[in-house]
Amino acid sequence: MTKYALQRVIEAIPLLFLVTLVTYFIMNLAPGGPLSMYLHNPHVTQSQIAVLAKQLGLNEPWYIRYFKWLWALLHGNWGYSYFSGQPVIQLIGQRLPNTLILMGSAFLVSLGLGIPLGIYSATHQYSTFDYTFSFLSFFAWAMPSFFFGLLLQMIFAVKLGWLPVAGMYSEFYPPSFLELLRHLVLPTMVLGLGSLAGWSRFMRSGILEVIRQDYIRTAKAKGLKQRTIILKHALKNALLPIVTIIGMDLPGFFGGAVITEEIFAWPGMGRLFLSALNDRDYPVQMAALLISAALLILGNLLADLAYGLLDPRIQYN
Amino acid sequence: MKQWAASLMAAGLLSAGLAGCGSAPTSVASSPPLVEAISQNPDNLTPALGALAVDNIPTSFMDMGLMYLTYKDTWAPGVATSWSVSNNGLDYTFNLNPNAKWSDGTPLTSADVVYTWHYMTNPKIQITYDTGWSFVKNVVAEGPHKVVFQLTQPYAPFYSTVGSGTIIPKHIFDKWTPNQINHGIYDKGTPVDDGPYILSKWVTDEQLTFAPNPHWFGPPVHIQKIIVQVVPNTDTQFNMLATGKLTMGGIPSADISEINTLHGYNIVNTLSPTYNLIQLDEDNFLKDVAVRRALDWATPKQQIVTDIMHGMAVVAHGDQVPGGYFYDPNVPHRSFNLQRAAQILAQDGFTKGTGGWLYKNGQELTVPIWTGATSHSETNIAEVVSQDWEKIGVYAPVHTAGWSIVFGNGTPQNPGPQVNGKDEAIIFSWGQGVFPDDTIDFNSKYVPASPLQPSPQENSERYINQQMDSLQLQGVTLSSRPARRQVYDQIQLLEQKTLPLIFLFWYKSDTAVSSHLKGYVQTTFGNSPVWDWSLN
Repeated sequence: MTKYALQRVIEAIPLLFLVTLVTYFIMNLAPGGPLSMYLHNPHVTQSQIAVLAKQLGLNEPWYIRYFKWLWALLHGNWGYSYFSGQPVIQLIGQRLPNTLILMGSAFLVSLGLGIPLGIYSATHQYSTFDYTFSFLSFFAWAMPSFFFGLLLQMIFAVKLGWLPVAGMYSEFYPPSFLELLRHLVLPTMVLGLGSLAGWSRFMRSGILEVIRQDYIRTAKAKGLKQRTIILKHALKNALLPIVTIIGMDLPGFFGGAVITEEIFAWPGMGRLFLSALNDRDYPVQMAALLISAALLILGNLLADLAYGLLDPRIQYN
Repeated sequence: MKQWAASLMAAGLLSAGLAGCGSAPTSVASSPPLVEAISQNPDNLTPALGALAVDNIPTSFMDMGLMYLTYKDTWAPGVATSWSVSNNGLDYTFNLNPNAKWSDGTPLTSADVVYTWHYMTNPKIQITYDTGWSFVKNVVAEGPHKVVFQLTQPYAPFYSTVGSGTIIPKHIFDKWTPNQINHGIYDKGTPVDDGPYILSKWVTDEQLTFAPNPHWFGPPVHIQKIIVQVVPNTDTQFNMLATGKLTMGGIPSADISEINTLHGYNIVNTLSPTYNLIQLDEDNFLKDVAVRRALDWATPKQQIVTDIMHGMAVVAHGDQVPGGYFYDPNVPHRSFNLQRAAQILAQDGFTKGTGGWLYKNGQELTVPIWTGATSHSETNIAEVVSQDWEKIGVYAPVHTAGWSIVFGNGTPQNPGPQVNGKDEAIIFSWGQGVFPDDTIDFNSKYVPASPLQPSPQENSERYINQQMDSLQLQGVTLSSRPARRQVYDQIQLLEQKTLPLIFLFWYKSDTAVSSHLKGYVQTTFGNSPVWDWSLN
C-alpha cells in the first residue's frame, strides 16, 4: 500500500503543475488586474499605477510571470502578496490551521452524525423517523449556506443569545478551548450540514441495497442479531460508494469554507482566497488554488486507500 | 468604490481641537473596551503603502500628522503647534511641538519630517498614495522643531494632502531596506507611531487591539482598550450590533427597516462626502452639451432618492458636499421634466425614426448604461434611468458587469465601455472628500490621450472646457480660502451649465452608536477626536 500511495503522490506532481499553468493562464484572462482597484481612486495617480506595475513585475507577459512564480515555488518561495507585501506562506500559515479546525469539525460532525443517521433511517425504512429525516435532509441539502448561516445567527445568537454571532474567540475573554468550541458550533453546522444530509442519504441507500443481498439473508437465517448483521456485515460493503463521495467532498469543505468563513468572520483560508480573488492578488490566489487542487488529489487518494481497507478483494499491485 | 467612500468617513476619526498640544500625561481611567467592526483585514499599516480603505481606521488611532481636519471642517494642530505660508504660496513653515514623541519614547523632530519627504519620493518603495508630494521641491529643517516645505509651484491643497499626511519615524525606517519595507516589516510586532494609541495586538483576519500610547503628547485618552474586529459580512455586523457586541457600527441599507430592533444605541444620520453619478463618455452625440442637458432633465433623481435609496440620500447638483465650506447652495438645478428633455433634443435636430428611437444625420441616439453587477441599488438606478431616457427616444440598454470590466480596458477586440470610443453612460459612486479640488475629474489634461489608451485617465468622460481648466488652476494655486470659494462657486455654476456628468445624489449613512459612548460626534467631515470619547 505504501508503494501504491507513493506512486500516486509522484503521479500527482505533474498534474499539480498542469493545474497551476491552466489556472495562471485563466486568471490572467480575467478582465482587470491587480491594479484595477486603483483605476478609480482619486488618490492614486496614473503615473503611480505605472510605477507599481513595474515594481510588481506586472508589465511582463503572463507566461514570464508564471515561470518566475513556478521557479520561486520550486525553491520554496511562494511569493509575496501584491497588496500586503507579506510572504504568501506567512499569510497561509496564519489562516490554514483555522480552516483545518473548521473543516475538521464539520467533517467529523457530518461523518459522526450522517453515517449513523443514514443507517438508522435505512433500518427503520418508512417509519416516522425515516420520513421526517428524509424531509429534513432534502431541506438541509437545498438550503443555501449564506442564508442558513444568517438564520442560525438570528436564532441562536440574536434571539436566544446562546452562542456568539461570529469570530473565533471572544473579544472580551482570553482565548480558551471552551471559547473556541462555542464559536465553532454555528459555522460547523453550516459547513457540515450539506454533507451530513447528503452522506446520510447515500448511507441509507447503501444499507438498503446491501441488506437485500443473499449473504445478509444468510446471516439473518443463522440467527445473528440485527445489530451484528448491520455493523459487521452490511456496513463495510455499504460504505464503499460513500468513501468515494467523502473523498470527493473533501475539497468541497475547503470551498464551502469561503462562504461560511465570510458569514461567521472565521479567520481562515476561505476569506483570504475570496479577498485575493476580488483584489486579483495572483500569488495568493495561486497558493489557495494549489492547496485546493492538492486537497482534491489527497481526497481521491485517501478514498482509494480506504477501498483496500474495506474490501479485501481490492489489491494495490 | 464604496470601500473608498467608507474610508472617507473613517479618515476623519481623529478630528477637532488639539489646541495647545501640551505635556499632559496620558491618564487612562478604567473603562470597558470600545469595539467596532471593519469589513476587511487591513492589508498594510506601513505608511502610504496600504491599498484598502479600511487601513484608515487603525491608522487613525495610531497616526498624527502635522495637522488634521476637524469634524467642523477646520484645521487643527497635530504634531505642529503652528504653521504659516509665504505670500507667494511656495513655502510652508511648521513649528513642531517640542513635547512630541514617538510611541517608543524617541523625540519626534524635524529630521523625521525631512525623512518623510525622502520616503514618500523614494521610487523603490511601493507607495500607493503620494498626492501632493510631486509639488515638494525640498524640505528644510531649521532646528529640531521647525521645518519648511519648499514647493515648485503654489499648491493650495497642500494641507489636505501633505500637511495632514503621516510622518515617518526616521530612527525606525532608516535601518530597513525598501525591500523590507515593501514586505511589511513595519507591521510585525508593535509599530512605532505618534498617535494616541498603539497597536498592541493584531490577530490576522480577526481583530486589532489598541492600547493607549504611553508617550502620547496630546490630550489624555479615556478609553483603555479599543478593539477593531474584522467582520466581512454586513449582516453579521448588524447581528453583532443587535446582540450589543459592538460599541458602534454602520447600518447596511438593507437593514434600515430593522433599525428599531437595536436597543441601547443612538442612531447618527450623516451625509457622506460621496456622490453617485452618471458619467457620460463624450465620444459622439454626448459631446453635444444639449444632449447632456436633455438627459439631465430626463433623469428622475428625486424618485431614485425616494424609491431606490429609501431616503438615505439627498439629490446632488454638483460635486461640492452640501454644508461644506465650498458648497454653493444657490446653483440652479434641473428638476425631472421629460417634456423639456424631448423638446431640447427636437430643437437640437433629433427626429423619431425606426423603433421609435431618436436619430440625427441617420445615426441612432444610443447611450448604453453600465454599472457594477454587484451593486443592487445601482443596477436598480440604471433600470429606472433607462426607462425614462427611452421614453424620450434615447435607446439606453442596461449592462452590468464587474467593476474591473466596467472601468477596465478589456481586450483590443472587445474594449471596456470607457475606452471603446462610443457614447456610454456609467453609474457609480465617487468620493473626492470634502476638499474642493476636482482637477483630475474635469480638467482636460486628464482626458485619455486616445479612446483606446491602455490606462484611462480620471477624466474618462473626456470633458474639455478651457474655462474649467483655467478656474481649476486658480482653485489649486490661490492661497486665500475666500478667494478660492469664489472660484469654486464659478466651477459649480459651470458644472451646472455644461454638465461634465450627471450628479445623482449624495449618500446618507446611519451609524448606531452605543448610548454608553460619550463625546462621540460624527459629521460629514469626520468624527470628534478619540481622546474626547469615553465609555461608561
